[in-house]
Amino acid sequence: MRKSRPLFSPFLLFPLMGALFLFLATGCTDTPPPPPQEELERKVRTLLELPTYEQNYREVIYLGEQASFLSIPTRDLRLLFSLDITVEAGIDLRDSFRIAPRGWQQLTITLPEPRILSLDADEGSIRQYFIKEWGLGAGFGRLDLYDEINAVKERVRREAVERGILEKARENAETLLRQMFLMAGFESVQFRTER
Amino acid sequence: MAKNNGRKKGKASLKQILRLMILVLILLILFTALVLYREFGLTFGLYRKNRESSSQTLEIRSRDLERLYTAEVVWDLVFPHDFFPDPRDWEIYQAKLRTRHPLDPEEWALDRFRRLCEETGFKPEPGDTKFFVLRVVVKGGYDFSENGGFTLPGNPKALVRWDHDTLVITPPVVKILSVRVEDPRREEYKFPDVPLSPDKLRLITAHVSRAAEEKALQWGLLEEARANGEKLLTRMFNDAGIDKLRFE
Repeated sequence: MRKSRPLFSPFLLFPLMGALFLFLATGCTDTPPPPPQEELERKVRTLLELPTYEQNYREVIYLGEQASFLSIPTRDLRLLFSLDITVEAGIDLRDSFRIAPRGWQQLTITLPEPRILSLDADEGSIRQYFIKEWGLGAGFGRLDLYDEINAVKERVRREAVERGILEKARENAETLLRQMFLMAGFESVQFRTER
Repeated sequence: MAKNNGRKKGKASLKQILRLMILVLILLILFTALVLYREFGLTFGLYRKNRESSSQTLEIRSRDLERLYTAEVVWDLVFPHDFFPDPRDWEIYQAKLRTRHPLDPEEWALDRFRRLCEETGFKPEPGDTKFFVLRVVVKGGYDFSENGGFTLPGNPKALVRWDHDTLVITPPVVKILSVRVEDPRREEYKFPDVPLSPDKLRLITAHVSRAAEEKALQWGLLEEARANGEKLLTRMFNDAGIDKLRFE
């Protein structure tokens, strides 16, 4: 006599339903179409920045993500890469920059406080050491990479300031402007900083 | 005998109903768990996720700069859609590929774009729903460190010299000095994320940066940079009391 077989075997169903649950939980959404062109801007802007010192930080970054369902591994992502973070410091000449003659062939230049003009990850310097993307769901996203890069940038900003990037930028800006006016015949150029 | 068979059949169908009920119950529990996970982030320990990240500085380099940025172009674009060619050009290119006809320079550019898309997981055709929006900033201006230093005394290519009562200013040639892709912040980025490895990001950035340089030149970045630079230098020397100036 033929033995009646159960319609659904629980042993088969459990992993199937687990997978379904994970698939739904990890998210699988339709990508909307790109934004229309008119939403995007194009600009040519005036800029008066005098960057006088640059620091370049070579950073190595590791990202990992492991997930499991009922202790069964479902996802394993690992990534190691390095890239350069460039910090440019100097003077923004749109802020309180003034030149005033002071007696015969003498000048006083008022400069704003130096600041970090640019802090940027150089994607062209990326070196990817390894990448592992295994399991359910999507791999590393562009924003995942930038989450970590932005965190590194904040650390680099603090370190650059601690290492005296602003003092060095001020010194170089003063040297550059002093030489420019000495060449034009001035005998003495003094600097003041507007705080 | 028939009674026994009927009982067995009844037991079997009861078993099936029970199994079905168990299945429905499990599905109900899973659905509730899913709703709780989606809405409140509760997992009851069924689903575990562990994220880790670390970073370290390998090397620091530094250098003096003698630049003056006087204009910038900001270009917001959608990759890869802003690089899609005219459909007719695309058809001609594909026909030439099939028949192995030699490509013209514009078609070679299309070919590079197609290869880039293939390498980075995008489709080089309209209709692909994968995209990301990015901002490229191109800065132009003077680099005073060129030609051995424009502000070094004794340099024959010095920035300023006197010609009788006129100050002659010879600024460096305006150039594109910086091209950078802005780093997006998750909290500010309005569109869905796309899967992208660092290697692919590097390839796309190189392509976009080249295109941004071309766009900046088309939009007159250098002309604007030159005009702004001359305006600034004029203002500086005027403020210092020198009124007669000439640019060469």
